[in-house]
Amino acid sequence: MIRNITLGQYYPAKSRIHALDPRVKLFATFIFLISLFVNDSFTGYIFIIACFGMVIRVSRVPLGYMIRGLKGIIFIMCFSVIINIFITEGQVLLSFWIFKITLEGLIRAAYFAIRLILLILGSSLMTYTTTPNSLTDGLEKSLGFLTYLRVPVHDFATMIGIALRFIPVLSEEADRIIKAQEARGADFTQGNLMKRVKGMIPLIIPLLISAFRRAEDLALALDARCYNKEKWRTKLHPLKYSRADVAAYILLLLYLGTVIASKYAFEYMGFV
Amino acid sequence: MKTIKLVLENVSYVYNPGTIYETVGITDADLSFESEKSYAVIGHTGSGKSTLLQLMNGLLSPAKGRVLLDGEDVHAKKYKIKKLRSSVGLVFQYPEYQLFEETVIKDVCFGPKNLGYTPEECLELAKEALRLVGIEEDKFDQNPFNLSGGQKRRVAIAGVLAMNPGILVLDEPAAGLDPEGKEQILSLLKTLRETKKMGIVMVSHNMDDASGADEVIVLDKGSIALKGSAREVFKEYERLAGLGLDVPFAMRMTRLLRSRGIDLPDCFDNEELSKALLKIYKR
Amino acid sequence: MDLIKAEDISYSFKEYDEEGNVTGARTAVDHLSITVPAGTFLAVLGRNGSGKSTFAKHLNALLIPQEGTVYVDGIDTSKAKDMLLIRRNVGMVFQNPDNQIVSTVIEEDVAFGPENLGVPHGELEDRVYSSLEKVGMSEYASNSPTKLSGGQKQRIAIAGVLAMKPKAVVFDEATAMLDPKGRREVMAALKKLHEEGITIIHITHHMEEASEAERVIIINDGKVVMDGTPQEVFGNHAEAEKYGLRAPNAVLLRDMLKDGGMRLGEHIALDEKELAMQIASHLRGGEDD
Repeated sequence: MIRNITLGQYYPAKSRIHALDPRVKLFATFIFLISLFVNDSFTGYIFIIACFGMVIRVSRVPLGYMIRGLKGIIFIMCFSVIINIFITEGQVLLSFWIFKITLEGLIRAAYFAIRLILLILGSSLMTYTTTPNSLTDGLEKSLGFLTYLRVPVHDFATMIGIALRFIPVLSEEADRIIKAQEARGADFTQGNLMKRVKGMIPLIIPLLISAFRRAEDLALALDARCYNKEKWRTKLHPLKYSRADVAAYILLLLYLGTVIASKYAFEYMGFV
Repeated sequence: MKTIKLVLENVSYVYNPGTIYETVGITDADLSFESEKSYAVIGHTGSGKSTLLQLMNGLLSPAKGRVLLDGEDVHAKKYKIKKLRSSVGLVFQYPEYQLFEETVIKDVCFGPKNLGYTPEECLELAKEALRLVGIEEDKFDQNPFNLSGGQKRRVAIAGVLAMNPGILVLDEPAAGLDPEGKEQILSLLKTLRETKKMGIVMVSHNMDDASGADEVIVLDKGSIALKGSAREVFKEYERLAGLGLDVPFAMRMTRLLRSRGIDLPDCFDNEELSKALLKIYKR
Repeated sequence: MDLIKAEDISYSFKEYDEEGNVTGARTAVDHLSITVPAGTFLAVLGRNGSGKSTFAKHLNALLIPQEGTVYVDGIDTSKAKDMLLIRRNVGMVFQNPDNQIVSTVIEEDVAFGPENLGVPHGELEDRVYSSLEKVGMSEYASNSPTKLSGGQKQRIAIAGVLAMKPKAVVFDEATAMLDPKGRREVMAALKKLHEEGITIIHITHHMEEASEAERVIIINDGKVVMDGTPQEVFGNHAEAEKYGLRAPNAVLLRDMLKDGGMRLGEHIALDEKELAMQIASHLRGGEDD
């Protein structure tokens, strides 16, 4: 069920990374992604992995825990790695039937795999170290400028917050409905794919109806508690930058600078 | 209706064993349920009531002990669990939330269909069940979601009755209904027991409702704290109060009156109490 | 002073067929008038579908009457510009504990109302923590609401309403989904608010809860059909039963004793303690208390 997914779930710990402002962490994830796409050298990856490794250390999220979270994407990863190995032209190392493996293909696949793993670990580190609530706050504040373009940023943030609040509620409800239908002799585990999909109807319909009912209740509750469009809204815990946050911003810019500079430096020196 | 006997033999259940979330569901429960009898299960939220109900229906399998239906172990390898599901019907709390079909009759047919009855048999069983719960024929082809709250509840109960169980287990069947809706459900259960010889097991928070049962089972932290006839169990006022549970109104009154120096026998309901009081009054 | 005044209000829902065409209208509130003085504890009874909830939603402008007018603290609820003021004055606690908590952190949920009203920072914190304190949930401030019991969730909802500093709180069947312990918790919080001078409007099916009110009204088919003290309303339980209600056990026992010839005093005891006292003093001394 939904509850078994650990990827991206908050990992409670007291660390410097946990204590950072969510806006810094969002920015850091963004910078990290850029650095992954800018870099195309082996040495660059060593630098990136070293930096990332240090951040993980500081975050106190166990590496094993993070790697376990990757389980869910193994299939997609293998699939794209294999595609990369076979479709890249170049120096042929091995060939059979219509397939051939090239040196370039292997290198590209390896780079691709590293990139994908780092990408996922990087963004999940953000969610491991940031509560959903402060993440939404961070997003709302970071994207606040969009309000001037008439994008209802606050409404979106409220929606995300409510969605997060209701994930456990609805997953519990799903469990309950499954059990109730099983008590009526339903079997959700037998038969072929078609039969199983059809068999889900007694679960999905009640779940949808319940979600609509909850949405209706919630809309009333929001109204009753004065939800409105005015700009005077205050916050119980407003986001405030600390010195550590400023330091983090500087480090991040230095990091990105290094990655970009080294790319051009290597090109200039003739490596690629 | 079939006459059956369900026995829980030294049954225990633990949630998330071996993890930090480990919690006790039920510990060493020895219980026996039969057709034609009524049972009330009382206890706080988290006392193990819902674990017990799910064990009775095979939705959970015990970590220790056995569940026997007419002497057969329902978790033995060759046992067909549907046999248990059709013999011991389980109605969850707010069962109307499980309705999903376009029409009332189709929804009630869901259970018997799963048990492998032919469409004609399903229809027969469904009609009979709906008649029992007092849903009139003109509602059979209606969308169940357009019914009133009390009617939806009764349709959902019919969905379990249509499987023709020998024992019907209900988790707070009257929760959230108004007094009339509640009375309808309680009188339905009485009818099922008297005319259909069905065993009724009901979880209830209302001691006055529970006092009508042949046997009362009190759960606390997963263990059976008290068990016996309603009279025996509700006599244990101190013990129940210690568990944060109440006794029926007439028994509370009896105690209060005794503490004010009026010599009363144990009175169980308003009728007994008023008779006893009037006897003293006329003396 | 009348905090709430409903003058001849009506509201009906349109009914649709499968294709979405209007086929008729169902009247939920039918020319209903009532005034509720500030500080009252009012219980509202009536069978399912009697229009109680529809009536309740008029009290904080969640619904605007199609006919008639509702005044809250002198303000007409149909004036859109005063809507926030009305909703701040009349808070509402709903039936389903899960469907009214909006945040994944309890203190932030309690802050939701005052945040929407733009309460400045220092005061905002005061309001949040003192509201949590009042309902006895301070220790949970930074927890997630997911693991709480129903009664605890409702207390969070009450704190969320209190943080808006309301003059009245409407409990719309707020105890219906709770177990006895949860009900006791909510009733204790409710009575505390009443003691502080907040007007309480409690919609319920539990007669024992209603007997703790100062005034009880019964709504049937969208109209107020009975209105009085709990003694007056439950004393006439033959009438109340017509509207789908059952008198508390104490009243029923009293009637049995009277029918059997025991001459109890005029006072109608609503709970067991009062009744036991009445019976005991009557049996021992013969004096009516």
